[in-house]
Amino acid sequence: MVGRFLLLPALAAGMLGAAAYGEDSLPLTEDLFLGDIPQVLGATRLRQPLSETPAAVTIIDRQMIRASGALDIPDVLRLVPGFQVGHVNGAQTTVTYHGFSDAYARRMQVLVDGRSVYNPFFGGVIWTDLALAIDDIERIEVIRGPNGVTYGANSFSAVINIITRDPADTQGAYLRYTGGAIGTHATVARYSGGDTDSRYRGTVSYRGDDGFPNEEDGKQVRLATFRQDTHLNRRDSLTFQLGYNGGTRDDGTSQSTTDPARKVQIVTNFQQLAWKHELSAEGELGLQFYHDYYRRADTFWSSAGPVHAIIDLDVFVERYDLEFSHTLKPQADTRVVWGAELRRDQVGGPGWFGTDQMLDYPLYRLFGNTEWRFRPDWILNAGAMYEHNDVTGGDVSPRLALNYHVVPGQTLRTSVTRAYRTPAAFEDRADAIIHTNFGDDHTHQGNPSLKPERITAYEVGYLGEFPKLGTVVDLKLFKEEIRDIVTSGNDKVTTPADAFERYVNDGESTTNGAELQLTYRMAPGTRAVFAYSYAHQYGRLVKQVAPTTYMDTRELTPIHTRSLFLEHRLLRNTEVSLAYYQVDHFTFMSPGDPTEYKSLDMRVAQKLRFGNTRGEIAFVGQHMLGDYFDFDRLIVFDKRFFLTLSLEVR
Amino acid sequence: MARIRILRWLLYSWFAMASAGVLAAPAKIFIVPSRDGGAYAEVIQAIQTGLEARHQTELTLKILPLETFQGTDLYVHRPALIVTVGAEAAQRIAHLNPPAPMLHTLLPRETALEIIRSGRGKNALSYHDSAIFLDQPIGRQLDLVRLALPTHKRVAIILGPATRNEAAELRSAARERSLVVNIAIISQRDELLPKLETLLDDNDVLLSVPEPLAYHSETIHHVLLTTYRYKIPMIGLSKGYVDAGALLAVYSQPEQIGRQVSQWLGNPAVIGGNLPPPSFPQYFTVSVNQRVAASLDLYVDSEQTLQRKLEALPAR
Repeated sequence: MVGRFLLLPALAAGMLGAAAYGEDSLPLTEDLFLGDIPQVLGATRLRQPLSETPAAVTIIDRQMIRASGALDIPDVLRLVPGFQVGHVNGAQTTVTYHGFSDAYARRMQVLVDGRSVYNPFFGGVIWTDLALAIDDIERIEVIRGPNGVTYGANSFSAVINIITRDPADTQGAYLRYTGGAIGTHATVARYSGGDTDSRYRGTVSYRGDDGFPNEEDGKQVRLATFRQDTHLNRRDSLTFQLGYNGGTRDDGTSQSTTDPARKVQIVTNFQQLAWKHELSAEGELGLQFYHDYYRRADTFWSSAGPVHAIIDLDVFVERYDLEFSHTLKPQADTRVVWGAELRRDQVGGPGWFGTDQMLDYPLYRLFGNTEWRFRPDWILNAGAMYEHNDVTGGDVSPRLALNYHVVPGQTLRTSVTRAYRTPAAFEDRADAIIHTNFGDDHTHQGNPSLKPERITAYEVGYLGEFPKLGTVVDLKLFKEEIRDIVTSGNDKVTTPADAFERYVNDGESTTNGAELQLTYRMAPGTRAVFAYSYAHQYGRLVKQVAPTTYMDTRELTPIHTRSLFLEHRLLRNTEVSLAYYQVDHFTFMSPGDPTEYKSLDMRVAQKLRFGNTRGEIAFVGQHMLGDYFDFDRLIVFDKRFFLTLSLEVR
Repeated sequence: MARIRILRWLLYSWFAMASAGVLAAPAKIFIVPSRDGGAYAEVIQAIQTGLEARHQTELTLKILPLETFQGTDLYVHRPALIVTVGAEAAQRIAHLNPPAPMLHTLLPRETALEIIRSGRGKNALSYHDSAIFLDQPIGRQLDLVRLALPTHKRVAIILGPATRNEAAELRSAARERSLVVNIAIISQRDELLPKLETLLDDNDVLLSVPEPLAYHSETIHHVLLTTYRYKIPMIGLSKGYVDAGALLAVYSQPEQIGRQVSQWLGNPAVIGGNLPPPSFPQYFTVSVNQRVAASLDLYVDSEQTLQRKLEALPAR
């Protein structure tokens, strides 16, 4: 233990010595070969080998995002085994794992650079309103399965980690324009500067389109983000980020007086500061603070004949979060991470909660996880998170996982996990009443005595890495039990005259299934990625609270979900890629319609090079197999074509 | 002109006399390391071990660290050959224009050639100085790329002021191996990362060359991180690179350089002043960082296998 720390000053001194050379006139000596090089890709930076992760993980890299031809982040997630994406309309998308969702997929956690973008108002993520340009994403890591032990409540069915690019990797100026179908105009401009010790990136973007034909669902998304990374010294680094997303989202129905066509105003911004301090090659302290602000302004005049009302659908959310973590390696065979988090969410919406007051949701978390390699080929992961919030009190989310390297490159893993979903503010405290000139219409009633939803997941996995063949196989067999499901139904007994939706814990669901992910890299620039999910889901969900009736939940999860991604580099400067998606019969909950579909996207890109300027012209064709819908039968995709031009100057 | 010829004749006859008297008086070999210990000591140790193994007692090794080296020793002891170990020793001893041939070891090729060309100054005595470089022939490095990463055809190389003249040689060596090299030349440190990124965008592997502007202990950190972010493997210059995060490297250990020196010393012609031309090291080692390979989703043969395959190739 002591010896480990004694090494450090020697290493630091060596680095100082090396720095003493002058710039641009360096002596060419044997030191170039013999000099000490500090370990760069050490344990904290190298990706944790997939064979040692305690869960099934899918990684989508930048190249795959680009080659998929996706214009928006949710579309990329269709490449993850077991994922379904529903376009509620042109400005709202829902993303779920193993189905069982409505327009707000509440059971998945999403983080951008460690900042949770899960919206506590309705639950779920409002993808269009993220202050994030798709061009700035380095990779997306998807943990398929609950992970409350690491990320707390709502890391329920899966966790999506979006990691943005380091400004060091985006030095210079970058400009992209995409235009094409449904009146799409998207422009992204980025500039990154600074030196390697302090570098920054600023991105501004405008994205506008008319939405689906005959629908009032166009959008104008303006966003701006800034990131600065500073190495204070060899051990300390700071990352500072700012983001803004604003603009209008079209909503309503043309010629309707009850739900008139209108432009909803969105303003959201965030500030984030993260400090990291390297203790040693294996140890790290982290401290992070962020603030998130979200406002949706949507108040309008509604009338139906003589009845009229002011409908107030305004939404306000604000979050402050402070997190501390400490990674250490107390013994050669053990790694430990522990930490604590404090959060305060405030939500408001007079039309939803029947009060002008902000609702306050403070929470705190304590977590710890140990990775113990008790034999060279066995790894035990054990951990728990205790979370206390004002809605449901305190809960413990534990996980126990075991990885066994049968032979090098072939790993078996098994795990048991429990996680919780805290009822969203609306489920907890809704008191939605439409006040008309003819009286009040009560629509939704929250329930402050709700329990959290609970998931217990059992998993057996196999990871086969056959690098010589360029092949990686990941197989996962799972059983997921969701209990105390929070859902709403009418109460026609207590309030027969004005039966409103009331939230209760009354539902359960069990999913048994298998998932396969197959990656085959034939050569650099050429690969195939196949994803398949078989999910047999059954259970019941309350439909009407009183008298009690239930619905069968089998419809809500497709039995088969497949995707295939192919990319190939032709010659030096041309890339072609295909993405195929197939989803079996299923339905998103109200207002979704039963659907099943096949879809094919394709892309051809030609790289451009002149001097220090690099660029690309790409042609994208989406939905090439013809019309389909993935959420609502009126929201139909037809063939769409786009042209993208990007330029990068260093 | 005539004077030089006479001088040379005088020298040769002096050597002839010296070699005739070999049995009577062992030839003295000076070994001058730049520094004590470390790699320098390993070279010297290997030379000594080699000579002892062959019972080559007609040679007397005199180890004279550069720090305490006296110019007068050259005239008092009249060495038959001076072996320098390290660039600084090569440079400073050459500057003394010693009356003996020099064999420079443990230094980069560009530095060695420059010292051989002009290190003795204006009134250079005419000796066949030579060197055993520390760098590997480019063909050997490219062969390693081909053997270890057969699907990686496009090789990125960054050159700078010290290495820019090697571009043509690199290109033709790559062509012979059905590889394509894409070269960026930098003249300032600022250009390194932008040009590196442009290169990494279009290539499959980064091959490092001994260019101090690009591969300096201050920059390696950034270069490695950048290659890693681009998921492009890097071929390093030494074991240190591989430990730090390069995928693989072929390099010569000090012991291997020393072994080659001792073999050269076993040749009486060398002691007679007739040194082979400056050469790349004959013996080499392959190192692989399998953790990096796994992290980049690459399969790379074991170090032993690659070493065996590389040794089996004819030198080109």
